[in-house]
Amino acid sequence: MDSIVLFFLYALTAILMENAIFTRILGSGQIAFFGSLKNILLHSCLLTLFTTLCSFISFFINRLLYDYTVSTTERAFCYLIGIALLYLLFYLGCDQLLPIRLRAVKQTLSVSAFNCAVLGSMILAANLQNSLSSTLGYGIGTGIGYMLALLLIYFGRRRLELIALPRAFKGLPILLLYIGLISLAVYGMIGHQLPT
Amino acid sequence: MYLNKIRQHSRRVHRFSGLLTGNPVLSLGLALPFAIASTVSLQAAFCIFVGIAAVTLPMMLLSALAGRFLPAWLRFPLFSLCAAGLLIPLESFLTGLFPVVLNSIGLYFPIIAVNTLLLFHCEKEAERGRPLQALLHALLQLSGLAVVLLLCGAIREAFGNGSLWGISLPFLSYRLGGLLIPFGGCIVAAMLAAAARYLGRLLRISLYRSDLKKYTQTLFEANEQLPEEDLLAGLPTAVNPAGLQKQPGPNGPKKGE
Amino acid sequence: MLKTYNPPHIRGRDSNKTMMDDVLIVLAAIYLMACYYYGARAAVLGLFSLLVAILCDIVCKLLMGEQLSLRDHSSAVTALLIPLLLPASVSYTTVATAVVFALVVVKYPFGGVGNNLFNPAAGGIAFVCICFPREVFGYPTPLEPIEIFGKFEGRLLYSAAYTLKAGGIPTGGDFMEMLLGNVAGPMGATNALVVCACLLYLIVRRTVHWQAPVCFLLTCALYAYLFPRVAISSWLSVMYELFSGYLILGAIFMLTDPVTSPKRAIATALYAVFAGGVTMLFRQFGGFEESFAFSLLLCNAVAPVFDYLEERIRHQIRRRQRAKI
Repeated sequence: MDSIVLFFLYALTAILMENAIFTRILGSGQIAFFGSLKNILLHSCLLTLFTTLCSFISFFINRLLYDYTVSTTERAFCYLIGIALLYLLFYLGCDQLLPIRLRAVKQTLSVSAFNCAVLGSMILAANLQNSLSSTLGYGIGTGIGYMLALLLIYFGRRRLELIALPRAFKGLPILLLYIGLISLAVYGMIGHQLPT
Repeated sequence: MYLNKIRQHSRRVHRFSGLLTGNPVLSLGLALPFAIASTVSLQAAFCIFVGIAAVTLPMMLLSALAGRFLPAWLRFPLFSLCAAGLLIPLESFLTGLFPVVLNSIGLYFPIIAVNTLLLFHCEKEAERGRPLQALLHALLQLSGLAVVLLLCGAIREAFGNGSLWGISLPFLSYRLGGLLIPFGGCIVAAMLAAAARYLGRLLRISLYRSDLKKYTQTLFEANEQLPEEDLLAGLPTAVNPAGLQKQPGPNGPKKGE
Repeated sequence: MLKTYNPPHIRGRDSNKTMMDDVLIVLAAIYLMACYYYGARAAVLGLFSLLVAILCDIVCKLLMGEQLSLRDHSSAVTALLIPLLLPASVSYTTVATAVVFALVVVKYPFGGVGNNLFNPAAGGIAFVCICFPREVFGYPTPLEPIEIFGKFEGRLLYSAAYTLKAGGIPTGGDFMEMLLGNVAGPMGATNALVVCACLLYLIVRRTVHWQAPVCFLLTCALYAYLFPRVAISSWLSVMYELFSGYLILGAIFMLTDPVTSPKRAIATALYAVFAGGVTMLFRQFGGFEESFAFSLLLCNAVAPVFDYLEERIRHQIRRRQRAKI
């Protein structure tokens, strides 16, 4: 029962209070600012899959490294090996099973796997209570929060296209401002600087 | 020659793409977490820049040399792992120089290994396969990144903390703590991008006007008739506020014109 | 001086000028009450804020290459609203920061009047809440003299919102005192009676849709009744939640912003219910004692969803009616 509560608590925290994009600006700016809805959905679903599975990997790596003093970069190197192995497994699996149908998945897989949000969530999860349910909840929450944030940015982008913006702000600057103001709103929920 | 200055300007800007235009952060939207969230001070921005430069240069060279021989699916994992490997000794070196700063940067240092600037450009250079050009391109992109990171770091530290490089600035007693939070970084980056675009456009307009002035003077001196239309005449109203001028149709000017 | 600009309304006999003028009249009435409690400093803060807004307008319009317009009073409304959401002891630099942020960051980059996606006053207030929390959430005692210029050196009190946030039971005043404004709080928001009278005036003049503030306040009241934050009776909880902070003032002037709120009646009501829920959740779990500005920014981001949903539902209803015929 405790583990289920922890799971949902950490998942909600990762979605709302520690949203990967609005509180830490992690993620791929190119897809967020220039991608179509289909690309955004595919990318964020794959990213959620990776954050979920990588949270398992990070839990076991943390267990292995428990008795050693390792720096954050060394820990991140170990996580990256795990991400790379998982990516290769998925890529080769897609290639062997349905190479033509899953072509779009194969193209987006690299950007979704080797992403600041995936690695960042694994590094942050290392500081949580050392339990599988909290790590797993945090991983899934990061992915879902990332997806919701990208959708909000996409619908904001569509609204901004209809407005007569000043020439200097068209494109990237106004999107950064839009994200900044939503981030300001989310900060009101947190009330303090998040640890890095 | 007509439009001489503006053509020279375009060529110069294209040659230095990455520094003058095509800035990796402000135009392409790469490496945004580093430019926005981690540049809370000038020292932090410097450490992040050193980290990104130390992995991007060798990785772009490696991708230009060996990228063509690797299958596409192997490039991203290989580049990220090599970059992470390079970051490990660099982190211990920088921790010796800036221990507090590295601690405050936290997770933004190790995630340099998967930053979009590195992966995006390595993928491009692997397709091209020209090491010297890759090195030059990397230097230009890193210069553009350096300008943005150091400017963001300086502005946020000066107006958010009242200091620069850790040295307190007594004349800046009014501090806006909100600038040190990620949303402040977003706003600073957005304003920098808009200012860069605005100033670039002002420069292009002034160059065009000086070209036009020189051209009309030259024609006057040569006693030639001044053209009836401006070169902007054929363009839509939004660009040429004077309105569209009637162009002759495909069958030549109509009777009576 | 007679340049056209984007009016935020769609059609009707109103103009931007008449809508904003109604709001300015109402704000003037609230400033009178603020001056009664806090002296001339309240009015001077308002005038200073107006001056800063005019300067920002001139600079931004020159940079954008637009002509200045005397008929556009939207910046004046934002400028006069911001000091009312702050304590009378706030410094002039804080007010100037809020106004500059509201206009230069939240309003003009998005295209100016009629185009902004977020409420400028909410943005300005949210920014100064984060930058200067002690100044923004510390209130002077009403009816005590305050110097017009210079830094406030007297004693600052906590409002009922802070006490509720900290888990205590507010003891600052009874129902009548909270209604008349004789309690510590934002200088324009404490006098609930005058503020509600202003709401009635704006609804009668059809400057605001009644659905937004009424549904919002009913939602907040229902939430406070069902889930009191401290161990008090449900009705006391409703009283303290509604009359603490600037909930009512924000519901009238910020939630009903015609640019950032939905355009259709049912969509507005649903939006107001959503905003009420989010605001009370922010109050309960958020980091600040008064987080209406933050919750409003979030609601502004999702406001078009409600218009879109109502349009889709109406479209489906019309299709079915046509199919029956």
